[in-house]
Amino acid sequence: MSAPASLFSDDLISPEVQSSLPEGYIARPLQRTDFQHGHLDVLRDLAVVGDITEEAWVERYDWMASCHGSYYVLVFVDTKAEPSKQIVATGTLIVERKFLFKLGLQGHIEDIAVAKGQQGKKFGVKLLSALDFVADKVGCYKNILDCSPENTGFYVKCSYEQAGQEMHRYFDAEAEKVGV
Amino acid sequence: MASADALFSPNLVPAAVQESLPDGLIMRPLQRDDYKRGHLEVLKDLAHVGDITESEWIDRFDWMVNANGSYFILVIVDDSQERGRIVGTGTLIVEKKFLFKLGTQGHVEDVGIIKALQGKRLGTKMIEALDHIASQLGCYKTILDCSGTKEHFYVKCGYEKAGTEMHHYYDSEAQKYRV
Repeated sequence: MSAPASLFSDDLISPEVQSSLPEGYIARPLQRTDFQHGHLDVLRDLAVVGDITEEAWVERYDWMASCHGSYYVLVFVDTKAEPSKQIVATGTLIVERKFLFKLGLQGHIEDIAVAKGQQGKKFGVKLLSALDFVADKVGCYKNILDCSPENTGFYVKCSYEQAGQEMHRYFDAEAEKVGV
Repeated sequence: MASADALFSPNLVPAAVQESLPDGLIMRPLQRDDYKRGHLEVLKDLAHVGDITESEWIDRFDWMVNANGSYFILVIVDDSQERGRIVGTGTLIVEKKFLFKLGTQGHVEDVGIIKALQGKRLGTKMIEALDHIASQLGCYKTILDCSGTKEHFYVKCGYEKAGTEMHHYYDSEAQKYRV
């Protein structure tokens, strides 16, 4: 059975965020053809991406789709842009299943990126709001994310509060060098 | 499809950590019958667990088995009793990304050792084992969140300060219990 065209259901897109986007822009789940719409270029503004073929990208998409409601990658699309540059923002919610808190679900927000040249449209705030909507709808008891100390103010505006300290340990020297 | 008895292959458990455990304790992957060995009791020392039946516990275990190699729960078991009793637990979640050449990032969650056995470096050994698994599976790094009081412990485990954890609650009971 081949993977679905869309990573998750449109029902999980926040109507409030959708209607708040400027004309010509839409919020939607990642789609299987989105390599062609510039998905990786948006991520390149966030962190090292490297060389990834379309085939490898699709394989990763298919794997995420097979993870039964674990990966929710949400994008904003400029429908008026040329096809290879249509994706202008991306964010990921991973839904972790736990044993504690009555077999609770904890959301992890990862890889929030807005394309350069799209500043001033509050896309970061709206992307968080859209991912929070998904998390709430699928039954997460909370979301967590990690950010640099200088960005905490932004996430407070998105209704997050400081919770603790992120710690990390690198296993890959190149990753450590580029600080991914 | 019948679910595996062990959440993942015992071959991933580092021999060096196994051998370093005190007599009577072993480290292994979570097993399908571990509800009976008190897995949830260890978690209760860590955070609010609530009422979970054995059948529900097994459903969650089976879901994790089928999660495409994403969940790695290690337990430390006191094997000196007939059935064995779980005295420690730790979880590694393996996240697959698009960035960093379709990189893999580890997340350490829900690490707990029962009060009676704290102070014997079992927590350190648990982190060492989870890190070994993360590295074996190709994670470029592992991240975790902790309170300020636990920072020093994780620094001793080879971690360094990275950023700030932020959270947003949807469930008022979870917020009340600070889960």
